[in-house]
Amino acid sequence: MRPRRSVVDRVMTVSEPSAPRTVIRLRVLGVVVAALFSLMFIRLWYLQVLDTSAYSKTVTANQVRPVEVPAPRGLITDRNSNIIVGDQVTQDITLSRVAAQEHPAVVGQLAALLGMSSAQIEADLANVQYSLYKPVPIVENAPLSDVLYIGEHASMFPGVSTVADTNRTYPLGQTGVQMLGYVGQISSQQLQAHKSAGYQLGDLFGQSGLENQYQAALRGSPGVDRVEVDAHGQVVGSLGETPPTSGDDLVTNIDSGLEQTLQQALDAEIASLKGKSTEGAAVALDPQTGAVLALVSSPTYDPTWWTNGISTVHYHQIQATGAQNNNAIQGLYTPGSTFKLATATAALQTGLISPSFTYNDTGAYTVPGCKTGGAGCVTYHDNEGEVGGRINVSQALTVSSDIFFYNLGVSFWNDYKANGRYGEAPIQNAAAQLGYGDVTGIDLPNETHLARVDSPTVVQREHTQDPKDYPNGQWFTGNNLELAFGQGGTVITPLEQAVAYATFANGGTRYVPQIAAGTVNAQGKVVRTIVPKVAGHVTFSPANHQAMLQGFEGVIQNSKGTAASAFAGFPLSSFPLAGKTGTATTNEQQPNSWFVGWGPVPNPSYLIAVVVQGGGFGSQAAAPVARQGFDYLVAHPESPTHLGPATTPVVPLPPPTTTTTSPGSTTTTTPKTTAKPRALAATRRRAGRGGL
Amino acid sequence: MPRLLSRLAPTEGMRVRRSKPKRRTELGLLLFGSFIVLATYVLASVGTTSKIPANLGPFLGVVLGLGLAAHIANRIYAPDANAVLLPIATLLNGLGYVMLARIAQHWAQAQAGWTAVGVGAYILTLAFVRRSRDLDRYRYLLLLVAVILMLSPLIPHLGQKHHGARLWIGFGPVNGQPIELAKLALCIFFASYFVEKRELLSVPTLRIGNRLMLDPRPLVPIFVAWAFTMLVLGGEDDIGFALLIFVLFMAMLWLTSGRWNYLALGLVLFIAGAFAADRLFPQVNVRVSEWLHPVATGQINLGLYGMGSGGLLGTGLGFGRIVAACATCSNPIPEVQSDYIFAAFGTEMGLLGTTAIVFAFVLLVGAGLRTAQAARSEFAQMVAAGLTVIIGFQALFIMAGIVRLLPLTGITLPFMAYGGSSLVANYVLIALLMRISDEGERAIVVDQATAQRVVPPNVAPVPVASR
Repeated sequence: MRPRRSVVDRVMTVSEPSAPRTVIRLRVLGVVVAALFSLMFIRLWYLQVLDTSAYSKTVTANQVRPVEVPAPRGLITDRNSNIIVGDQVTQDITLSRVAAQEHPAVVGQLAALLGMSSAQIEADLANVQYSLYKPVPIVENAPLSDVLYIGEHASMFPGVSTVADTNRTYPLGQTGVQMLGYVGQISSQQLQAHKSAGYQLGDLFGQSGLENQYQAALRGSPGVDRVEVDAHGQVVGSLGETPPTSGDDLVTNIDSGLEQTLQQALDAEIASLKGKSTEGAAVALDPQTGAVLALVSSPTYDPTWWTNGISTVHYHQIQATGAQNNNAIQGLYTPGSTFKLATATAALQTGLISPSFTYNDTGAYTVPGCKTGGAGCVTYHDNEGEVGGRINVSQALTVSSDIFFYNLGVSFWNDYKANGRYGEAPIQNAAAQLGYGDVTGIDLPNETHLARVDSPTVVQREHTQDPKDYPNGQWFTGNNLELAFGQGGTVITPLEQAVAYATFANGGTRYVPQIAAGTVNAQGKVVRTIVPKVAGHVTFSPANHQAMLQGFEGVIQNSKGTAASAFAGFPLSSFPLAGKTGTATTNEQQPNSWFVGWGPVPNPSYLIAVVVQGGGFGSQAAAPVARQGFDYLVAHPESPTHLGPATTPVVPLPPPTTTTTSPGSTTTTTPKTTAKPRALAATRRRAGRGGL
Repeated sequence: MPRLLSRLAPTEGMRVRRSKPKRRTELGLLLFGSFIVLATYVLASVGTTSKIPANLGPFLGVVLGLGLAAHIANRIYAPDANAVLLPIATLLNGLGYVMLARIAQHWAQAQAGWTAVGVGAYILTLAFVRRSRDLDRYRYLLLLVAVILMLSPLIPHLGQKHHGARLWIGFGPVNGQPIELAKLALCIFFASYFVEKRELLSVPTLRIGNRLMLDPRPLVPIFVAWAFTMLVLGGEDDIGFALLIFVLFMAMLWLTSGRWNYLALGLVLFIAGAFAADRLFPQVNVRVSEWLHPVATGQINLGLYGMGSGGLLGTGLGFGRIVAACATCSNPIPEVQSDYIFAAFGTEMGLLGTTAIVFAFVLLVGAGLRTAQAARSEFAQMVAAGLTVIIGFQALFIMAGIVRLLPLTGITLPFMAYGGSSLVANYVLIALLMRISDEGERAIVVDQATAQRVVPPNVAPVPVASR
């Protein structure tokens, strides 16, 4: 301690802490603070004088307001360039909140002009869901007279402006709405999924059907109008506009006349069944290319319900009737006798039978070798058609002899069991080649994946996965028998049916069905051409193909044919048709009615497949619908799809009650030419698209 | 000792009736400032609503009334104090009010109430703190007050969190930042403690080997106090005040000791603290990365756009496009009424306006430092210097943050930004400076009077030591 104290004493005497030194330090502090504030001033000088041009760029963006100019959405046209989904420019009237606050009288004046109450407008202004920095929309789709009046009396309506908006129009009305789809505001999931595409909340987005499938092409890109405004928000002028780029028009293979004919015929047929039937679908294809000429689903609804948001009532109505389902690609129906196409193909291909093979149809069938009265030993009866007697495969198809095909199913199974011949699933293999039980790959979203062709592996797999719902995992002779005439667990979509028969009709090439033919930009230039796509091949020997075709022709042309009566009076000599009926027994009371027809044979240009749920016999409900389609086609033969700019909206067909063959959309400028019989083989693909 | 006695004698020993030239100057400056505030108020109203404000008379009455109330208090309680402190404070306060009224009326109304409370606090401070040395006596009581104030936001239910910082307390409808008042108490404590330990802090007394070193022991409690402050502020996620208290602490330590190695130590501490804070407190990390890489349409960039668009003369009051919401405006700068009010001035009044504000703070700092120089005790000197450091650096930090010289710290621009506790605390701060100034200036006045032999007859001349 001692030395230390002495140090303190010494130091204290040497340098007493002095006030002048503190004053110097205070001055140093003052200089430091002054220097810091000077730095501050230099920075401000740099920011607000020297660098101001760099910021003024950003700042002019604040004073020049970019106003998004929505791009007109591309139109959808039919094969003859008639508009089937159009755009309509509407005017919305908006009111600025600030202006309404400064000039309270404007609310009353606007209310009087628009026939609204002031309270309604006040409620709109108070609605916080509208952006605080944008004018509030008061009326959507305002009448032109109001828009003009506001324009001419601008001083009376401070802060009121009119904004252009576009709505989708549907010249076909309720026809084909599920295929065409609808547009609505982009959902957050869609926004997330298309992050890089520059979408913003509130943008329109195709929600279903073609609108969804071809969204990218139809969308276009929005323009920007750079509007200069003064401090009070009054528009001083426009500094130029980047015009929006219209979306491309989508040209489809659809014949709007045929589309309407089939929709009206199908709706009328279902209506005539008075509640026994609730739904159905029809598909028309060009068998030579896979081009979809028509695709309709029933029941249907008014697509304009979606414009500006659907009401709860309408939404529940669509939900309750199932009208939003596209039954052509989402409906699953037991194929019934139409499936005999696959069984006959399998039997002839594998050599189980030859075209000359005959079998005695006695009208009843008992599985051979089963003990009478034993379990599973049932006598099967013919479902439709008459007792055929001794018949070959052609005749069996014509009269739709179930007995003949029971025998084929049982023979296949017994041969496999006894000799291991033809494999376990020869019918299923033929069905798969024809495209049954698989997605067709049509250019529409949400095609069902649930179609299935019954087979031992499918039955076993389902039993393993879900033993409760599928208690039986075994495959019996009876299963093969049911499979052979299209009953049992097999369910398919109407489009699959059309594709399978088109494959047979063109000689064995399976095409991917395609609605769109291409896209055309606003200048009329073809942007994209969609060419036919081959999905697979089925080999038919000429003799086998001829034998089966003969049978299918007989269905319509032979007096014994199951659909002969439905086509009575049809000009079969100039327009020979082939077809097949189906009457698929289901758990419901009435069987599903099927019909597939194509013509003119032997080189058909058209194929129509129709299903009417609960319609009864194939010849009763489905065949008449298809016939109306063929009647239309006889009167209006197709010309190749015209890839070009849209011309005029399609003219709706008059109601079907007047006459089913009335001229439909003949507003087109393209002359109709008679469909030329097209050669098979490689040139066929090009020929089908001659116009491209 | 004789020096101090000589200074005490004239004030306490006699009542001198003198003219008060400082107060006359002050009154003139107050009236001039009120005129500026009134003019900007009219301009802002014309700019926003195209109308001359209807409440012009009452407005002028309140502005003048509050200014005059403080002025009269000065005449009574601090007749010789600095003439520019109060006029600058009221001018900044008035301009801030005008900008708040231009942004949104409800803030202006609340701010008007707080201004009245602030002026009241100013008068009460002058009335109750009659001698600066009284404060010296309550050193540890003030430390306790500062600790409680700083801890109060951490109390459950009482504390509130805004914008990531747990700095507020709420009590019914009233809430505020207690740290604003704590900074004054801390300043007084630091001054008192440093002055008492001045010798130990500045003179090497510890022998290690054959070298003399500073005895670190007197630093221990002060470092404890400082570390505690930093910890509390870290816990409240506020870097602005942590930085301010740190700068205050370092400045006062250096002012009393004159030791540069303290500043070096402080710099090391600061760098270490900054690294630790960057790791420990997410808010620090966020502020720094926002400073280095501002978000395109974030607060920092919007502020810069606004100031850039203001240019030399500004858009004019009421015409800024990112200051307040309007039909055609862009989204306003976030927190434009509090942290970012300086950007609003930059937008609408341009470089001229911002320079005026910067100069006002420079004048305030100058007046504060002059007060410190003239202070009649070392304690008063340190208090004045500390208070000046507080107001100067608080203004610097927020303004430098807005112009992106420094990372943004969420502290208020004294007198201008919206905030009751800040306003009240800063008025108290000015009142304390006025008190110290009054003591110091009166001594000088009396010194001069003595030198000129204008001495009241009943008092004997007292020898005066030169300052």
